Amino acid sequence: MRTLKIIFVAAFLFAPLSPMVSSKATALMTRFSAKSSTTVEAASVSESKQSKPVDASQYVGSDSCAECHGGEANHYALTAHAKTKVLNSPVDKNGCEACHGPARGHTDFYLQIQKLNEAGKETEATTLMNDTAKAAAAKLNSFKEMSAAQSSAICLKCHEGSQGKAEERFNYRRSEHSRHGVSCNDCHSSHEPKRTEFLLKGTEPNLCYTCHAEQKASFSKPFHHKVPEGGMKCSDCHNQHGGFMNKSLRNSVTGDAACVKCHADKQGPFLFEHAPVKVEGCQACHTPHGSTNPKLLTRNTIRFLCIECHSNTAGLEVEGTGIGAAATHDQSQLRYQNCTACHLEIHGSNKNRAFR
Amino acid sequence: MKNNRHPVSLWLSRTFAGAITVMLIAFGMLTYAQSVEKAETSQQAREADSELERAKAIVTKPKDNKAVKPETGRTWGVYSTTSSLELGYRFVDPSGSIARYLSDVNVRDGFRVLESSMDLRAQPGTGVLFDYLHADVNNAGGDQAQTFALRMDKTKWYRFDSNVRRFNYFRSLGPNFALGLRDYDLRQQVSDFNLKLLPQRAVRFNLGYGRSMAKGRYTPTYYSQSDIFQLLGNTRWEANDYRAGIDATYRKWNFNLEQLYREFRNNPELTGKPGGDLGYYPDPKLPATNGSLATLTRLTPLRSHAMVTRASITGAVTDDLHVVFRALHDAERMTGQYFEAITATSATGLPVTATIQFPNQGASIKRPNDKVDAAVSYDLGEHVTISDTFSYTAFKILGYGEILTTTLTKQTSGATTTSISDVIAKDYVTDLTSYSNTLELGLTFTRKFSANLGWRAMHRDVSLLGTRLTVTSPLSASNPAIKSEEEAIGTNAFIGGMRFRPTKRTSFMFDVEKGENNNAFVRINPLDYTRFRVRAQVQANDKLQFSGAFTSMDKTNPTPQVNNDSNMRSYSVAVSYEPKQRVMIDMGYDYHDLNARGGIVYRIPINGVTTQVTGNSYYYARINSFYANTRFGLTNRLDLLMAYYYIMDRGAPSISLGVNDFANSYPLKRHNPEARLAYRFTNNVTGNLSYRHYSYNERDFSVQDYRSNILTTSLRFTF
Repeated sequence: MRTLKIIFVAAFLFAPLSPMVSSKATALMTRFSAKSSTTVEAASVSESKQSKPVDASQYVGSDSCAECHGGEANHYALTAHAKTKVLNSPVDKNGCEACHGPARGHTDFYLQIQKLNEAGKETEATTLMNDTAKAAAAKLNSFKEMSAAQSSAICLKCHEGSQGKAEERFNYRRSEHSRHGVSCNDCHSSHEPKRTEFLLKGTEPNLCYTCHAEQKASFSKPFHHKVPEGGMKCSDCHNQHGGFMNKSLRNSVTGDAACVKCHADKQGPFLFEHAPVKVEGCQACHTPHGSTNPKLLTRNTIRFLCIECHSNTAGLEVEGTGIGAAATHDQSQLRYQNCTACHLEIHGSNKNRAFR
Repeated sequence: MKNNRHPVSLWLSRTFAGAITVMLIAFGMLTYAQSVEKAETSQQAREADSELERAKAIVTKPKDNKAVKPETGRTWGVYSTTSSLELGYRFVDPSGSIARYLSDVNVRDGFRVLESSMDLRAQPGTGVLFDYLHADVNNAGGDQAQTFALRMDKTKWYRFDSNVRRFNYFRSLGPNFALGLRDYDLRQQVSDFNLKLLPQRAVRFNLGYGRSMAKGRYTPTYYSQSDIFQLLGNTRWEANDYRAGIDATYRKWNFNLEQLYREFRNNPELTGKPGGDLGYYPDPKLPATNGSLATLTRLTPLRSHAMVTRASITGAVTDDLHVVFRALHDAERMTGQYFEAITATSATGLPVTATIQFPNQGASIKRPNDKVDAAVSYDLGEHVTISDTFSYTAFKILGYGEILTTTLTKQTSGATTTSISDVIAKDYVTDLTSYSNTLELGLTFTRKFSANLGWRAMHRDVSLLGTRLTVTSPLSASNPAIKSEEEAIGTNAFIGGMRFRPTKRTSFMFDVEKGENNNAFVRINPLDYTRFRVRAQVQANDKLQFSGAFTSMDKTNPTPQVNNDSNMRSYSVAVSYEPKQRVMIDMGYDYHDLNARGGIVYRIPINGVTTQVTGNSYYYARINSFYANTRFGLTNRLDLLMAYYYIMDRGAPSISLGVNDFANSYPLKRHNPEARLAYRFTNNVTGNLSYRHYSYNERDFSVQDYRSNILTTSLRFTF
């Protein structure tokens, strides 16, 4: 136990901070990834450049962007991002360039082409246009070409933390979605959202079904949480932006499983708690999305759900009684086959330690 | 005749033939039916575009003619607005088991506000009281899931989010089925209100209120006099959360501090008049006993309070080093009273009166709970990230309760015998401390490829400590005053996965997790588990997308006395095709296969002697699910929307069972075809006529089978 604790603490403190590991691994990975595509490299470089202080003169302002990208600018004006304009926040100061990077090179390049065209020098304009090196240098951050981690990192510059719901996006970097290469832009669209609320590309749960198609089948089973009926959303139970729970589950306000937010009568505390409720979680006996079994139980017959743990073999005695759990329960009698008929308060009881 | 075909090829050919059959049936069904009430019509699909047009209109100067008039909604002062209201009536015609129909579908006759919304938005900062207001109502008037939501904000000043959800929860199942003895007819309501002040400032304030409640009738079961009775009661419980907090941002750091107070109260009332006729002895094979209840009074009020403080810090030490820290302290306390009085007839026919009560201060339980989570990520260059997450959880349950049972039995001689049972759970303590640490390595080579590897180690200490429960038992060396148990469990799990995007429109993901699950409590060893998932998405073009997934989960519990294992396989495919707004086809198939085996020990009478036997309990679920949602714009004004949902559990395969083995399954079928015609009278008025059919059949029992036809007519107004 003590050794394990030492390992935990040591791993926590030293593993990510070791400069030797850092430098060697960086060198190794740089060699390993030398074959990366040039497009992505350009984007990566652009991103890394952006993290360094940039000369203010490199920014041209959103009005300049709107001259060519009028459609995006119009819609942007009514999205949540436009709220920052009021406050002269960092996003406002740089506008479009806050996400896409400083655009001086980009505008200069295309203005030059425009001027050549206006002067009738179409050949020179075409030549300049086809100059891949200059075009690449003039290219802004394109989210479509970035890795999930790179594009999400740009969003997290402003959105990390608890600006929305408490603890909503405070652990995105270690979330299930981030771990599996899902970026902010896979669900959100700054310019062309299907719904302007949260700039989503679709509405729940259909947006989630895009990847989690099997859950649509689960929710069509006879017993299910009321997601198809519109009474609940996936994000009621899951923190799609990552938390500290497995399966991106949310915590209730008291730190328990998200289930007790609605099923408050199961939260307790009880004098006699059914251990799995607090420790193992509701999934020990219930399947959360949908089931053909009543009460979303994992087994259709209650006794076989119980007896899988409460086998009455010697050695699995009920504490303090010296007997096995079902020693007196003749399973040929129907009355003993429906365990919760007697063990009624199965989630916890203040009256009876056997939950009767 | 001997079958010489190889089993694999036989399986493949059957699978292929089955898939083709399912597809043909599906397309066959699609040609003549189905839709859903809530599916988007082609006009609703265009509303997103209209929203964009309104956005353009409101930011475009009047002299600029580039703005296109949106199809729905209007501009009102500084606001771009759109609203809708759908009013309708449902006609329901169920047959068969109405109780099961209500437990399953629970759609009833009546007038409904099927949908209503109001949306006002202005350029940030230009609205008077709000820049944005959005209100939604869904299924109001008695449907099983009703929602009400209001969101509004004024840039710089506030953001308000609220929702109220109501659920009609009905359960009445046959006595042969899981939990069939306990019925419910509850109204549950969950609501949440959040107000954030100065939302765009560096320092922000949060106020919140949440409420969860349920009330209604239920039929608890009751064990008395060697018999089981079904009672009738009313329940009403509610939990109220009050929250206040502050967020702050300073440079690259975000801080959050929140204080919460939760109160819970539960006031169940047993209002039934139990008697011999309400006595319930569930086994018809056994002779009825004389046990019966004449009267029962039970008062069991519960009150609990929780005071929660939680804080979190997120930030970047450098551009490469990101840190998260969260701490939560929760102090919960519950107090309960219990008083119960019965008059009954014992199993041998003698009159009995009994009281069960907490004689002194009642039960009192405290549960202090602490959680600490900390995580750090370090970017080793542009392609490698190493991260570590540490979690600590500790809670104690400290309880005190005394249950005094006094039973008076009047003997045939006329004398009254008194039996007293005084059970005390004094200083009953459950103490749990748990640590976990997850070390992960993330690799991102290009947009095309990313991978992750991780190792999670957990350790948990549990101790149970309590005064000997039955104080009347004589104490001895083998029956000590203090009974304690201690358990320590350590587990490890490996995590790995990758995502590969060979093209912009193609994505493959797989992940694997193998290890021990730290979710068993005491006495039972952790589960060994292996989970494997593969997902694929192929977007052929902007209109056609395919996706597929395979998930497997194998669990084994190595505890010799429990010895159970389960294997789950899930196969899913889905196709989405939307060539234009007037046509949409979305369909999918899922096969879920679960088989579980548990070693069980139980008692049965053999030659008149109750004997302990050992056997196996098998559970099988082989569930085929198919769904299809379609939309066809037949004309500019007329949409035909169809849907079809099919569930079939084939139950257990043919297997040979030992004499003491059981095989359990729940073979059933449910068809649910739906169709809807939506006719757009004008840009602002749409008429709907929809039909839904449910057909439910269980293979082994027919008492719960039902059929239902649901016809809904409605008018939807947009303005």
